[in-house]
Amino acid sequence: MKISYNWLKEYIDFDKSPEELANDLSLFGHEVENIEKIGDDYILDFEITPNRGDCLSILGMAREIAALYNLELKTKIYELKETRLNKNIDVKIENPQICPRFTARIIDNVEIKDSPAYVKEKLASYGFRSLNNIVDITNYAMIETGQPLHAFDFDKIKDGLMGIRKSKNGEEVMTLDGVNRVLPEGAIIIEDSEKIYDLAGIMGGIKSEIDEKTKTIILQGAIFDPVLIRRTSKKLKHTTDASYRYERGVDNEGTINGVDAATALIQENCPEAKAGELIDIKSKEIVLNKIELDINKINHLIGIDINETEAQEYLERLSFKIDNNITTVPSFRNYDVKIWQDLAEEIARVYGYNQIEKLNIKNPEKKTPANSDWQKREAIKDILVGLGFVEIYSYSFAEKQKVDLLKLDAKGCIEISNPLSPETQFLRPSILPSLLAQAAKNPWSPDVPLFEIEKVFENDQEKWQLGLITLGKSDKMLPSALQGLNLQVEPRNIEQSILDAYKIRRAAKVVVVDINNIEIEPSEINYNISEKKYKKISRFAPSVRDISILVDESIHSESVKQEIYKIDDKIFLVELFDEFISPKLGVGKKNIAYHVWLQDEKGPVEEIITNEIFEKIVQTLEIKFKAVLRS
Amino acid sequence: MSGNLHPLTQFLRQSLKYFEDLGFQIAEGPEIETEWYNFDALNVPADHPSRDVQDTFWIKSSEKKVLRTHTTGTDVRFIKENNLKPPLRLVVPGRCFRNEATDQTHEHTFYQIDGIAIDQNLNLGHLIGLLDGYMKKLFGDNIQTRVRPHLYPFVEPGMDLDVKLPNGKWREMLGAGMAHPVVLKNMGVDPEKWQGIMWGMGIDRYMMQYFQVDDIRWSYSGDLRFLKQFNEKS
Repeated sequence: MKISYNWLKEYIDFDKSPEELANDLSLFGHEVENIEKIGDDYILDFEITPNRGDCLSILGMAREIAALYNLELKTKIYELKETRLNKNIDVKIENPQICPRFTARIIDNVEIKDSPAYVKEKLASYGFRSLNNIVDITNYAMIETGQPLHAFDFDKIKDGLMGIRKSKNGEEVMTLDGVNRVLPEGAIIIEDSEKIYDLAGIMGGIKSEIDEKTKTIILQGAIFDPVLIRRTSKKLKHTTDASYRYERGVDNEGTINGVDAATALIQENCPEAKAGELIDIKSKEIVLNKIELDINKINHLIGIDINETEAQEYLERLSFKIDNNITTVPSFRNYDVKIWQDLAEEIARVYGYNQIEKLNIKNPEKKTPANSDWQKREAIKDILVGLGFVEIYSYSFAEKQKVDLLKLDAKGCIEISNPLSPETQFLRPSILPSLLAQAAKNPWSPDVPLFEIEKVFENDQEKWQLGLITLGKSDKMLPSALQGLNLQVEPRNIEQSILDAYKIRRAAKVVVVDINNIEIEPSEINYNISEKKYKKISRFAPSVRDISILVDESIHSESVKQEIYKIDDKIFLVELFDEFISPKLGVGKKNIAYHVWLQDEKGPVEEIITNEIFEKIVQTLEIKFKAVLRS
Repeated sequence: MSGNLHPLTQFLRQSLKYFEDLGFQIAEGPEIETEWYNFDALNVPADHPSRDVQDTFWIKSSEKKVLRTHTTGTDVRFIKENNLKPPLRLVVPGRCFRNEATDQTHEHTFYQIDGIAIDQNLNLGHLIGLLDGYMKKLFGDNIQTRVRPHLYPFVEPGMDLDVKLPNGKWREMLGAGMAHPVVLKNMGVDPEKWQGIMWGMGIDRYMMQYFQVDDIRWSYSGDLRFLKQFNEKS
């Protein structure tokens, strides 16, 4: 929601820069996402929460600023020349619920022309296209007052009849955007004896449209049922500035102000125009919410200690009225403030959330009950990581094609009814497709030993599953993993046709087992967190080469690794994969071997560069560690 | 050769430890959730724009079911199904889903840690203190936090908590508030007697901030160039 900084100043004198105002209002509950300078004005773009329909206007936001800074709101009084016209409308509201309030004015002798420059400019900064003076003024006054307004061509409506009712399924109306809309049941429409000419609260109809020949208009500012507007707007997939406001709740007591604001602008713009008397139909009286103000409850909920007088002052700044501890909610907040906890939030907002003292919650008297399911899964992860496996997280979805390929139970697959893409159409019935897909992402890695523990879904059920996969010679790691988890299962060798489908160029072995079928001893969870920061990954393939050296037994493989990292910034990852002592190597000697991953953000690492870096590595290790290259 | 725990696992464990040490029991629930637990039980009205805020994956089935959009519904389910009575403290981790296109900063899959404590004297000050303490534990004692009023239908009053980034800007980290009386009732708890503090936080982004990861999609990529970076030894 965009709000003009200069326009706010018509309603309130405040002495804050746009940035200060944005910051203060953010802390008051209206987050500012962006500030844009347009000419000598600033447009603040707010994220207004759906309960605050009252803030979708200059007036509404000015009210909040008045409460925030404890300033006086300068309400506008419109001095209008009213004329008794011999034209009239006949408003028939089928059910008071759909249109509890209908306010309008007939304005005769208007001249349809271009809008004044200041109106055009303001509308442009709000993203509205300028059409003509009348339509522009209704938009302008809506932005200012929050009241959606619509102007009908009086002469296009037969006998001035405005029949307001719910639509029947399949009725049609052509809206101002030229779209013929087939209506669902329960849209609000306006009709005369011949035609439906308005989709009320959402968009006007072509059949009552203002055009260059229009002489007389009906300027309407009504209240329509938020739920009906929302349902229709959703069903038609059509949201407008009017429907957006209606579904969030428009002030029942603001209709006259909206109509008057527009009337004043029209009279200023068309001096010959004659404004008729105000038509104001309250088909349903608004009942303002009344809430008991209990300061003890409020202090207890928020953790502050204020007295009743302070609470009353805070609420009055927000236009609430208090009489004998009974708070009456202002009409523009009636959709949203209903219970005493809502009052507590209002008081806390004015008090300042950041003024509330931070408290420690007391330590529990008893030991926290353990969650043995969670602990078991985490213990399994620790065992597998200890044996060299890498944990993956993959999506819970599976493609139909892969489910069929793997001969999983396609019938038992749970389907998503509104997937954004085929990839999210089914939930995975097994962790297997994910394992294969993720293993396939690592064609350059010498070792690929992966595991995942996550939910799988089948026949309306979900369960935790463990999946292990190894590619190529990493399969030598599987026996110890199975032993570590006390599992007596034979790993599955993945068939060539499946490997081809996943573009895996090495043999793959997998183990898939339900967590319920694993039994392990409870153990302490490893709570350490890595202190390493993310190193940017090139979008080009890495080049991986091994180096194997002979060094003194006393040399730490970790120090050698750190030394290798220092040699060139293309060295991305250095992994120790072998370390052993053997009589064949000589007394006091050991063999250590690393995979060295090189990458370059600018392109693939060329062979010649790789060779250069490896020569440097060998030289450095010879000097620093008296290392002898083995391969 | 040593293996690697996924950075999300590392971060989840750290987070849960903070709350467990304060007496919060780890509670879990289903990822396929009923519409009632995911929305209605949390006071999210059916015909109100607040239901639009979350794009939901709907399950094709006779009953109205969804992939849960948060673990907040699990709070209610766990308390009801286990017939828990206050005082109580739960921390609820788990995988959640939003039906949206993925890009550098958006994922349809993410992890949330939700929490609730119900007692006679817990107030908004306790909630702010608890969450401020969490941010300090994870991001260091120097991290600055602030809170702002915000709407979540399941809490009243509601708030967001921000942390200050090194560049001086504030970043929204989580939503929280005092349990709404309707939600307490749906848990079988008398709102006249008890007060609840509740919060929900998305762990993927915290993990990214902690490890300075540049793209949220790495987590679910299976790429060893990412997964092997975060070993314990630095």
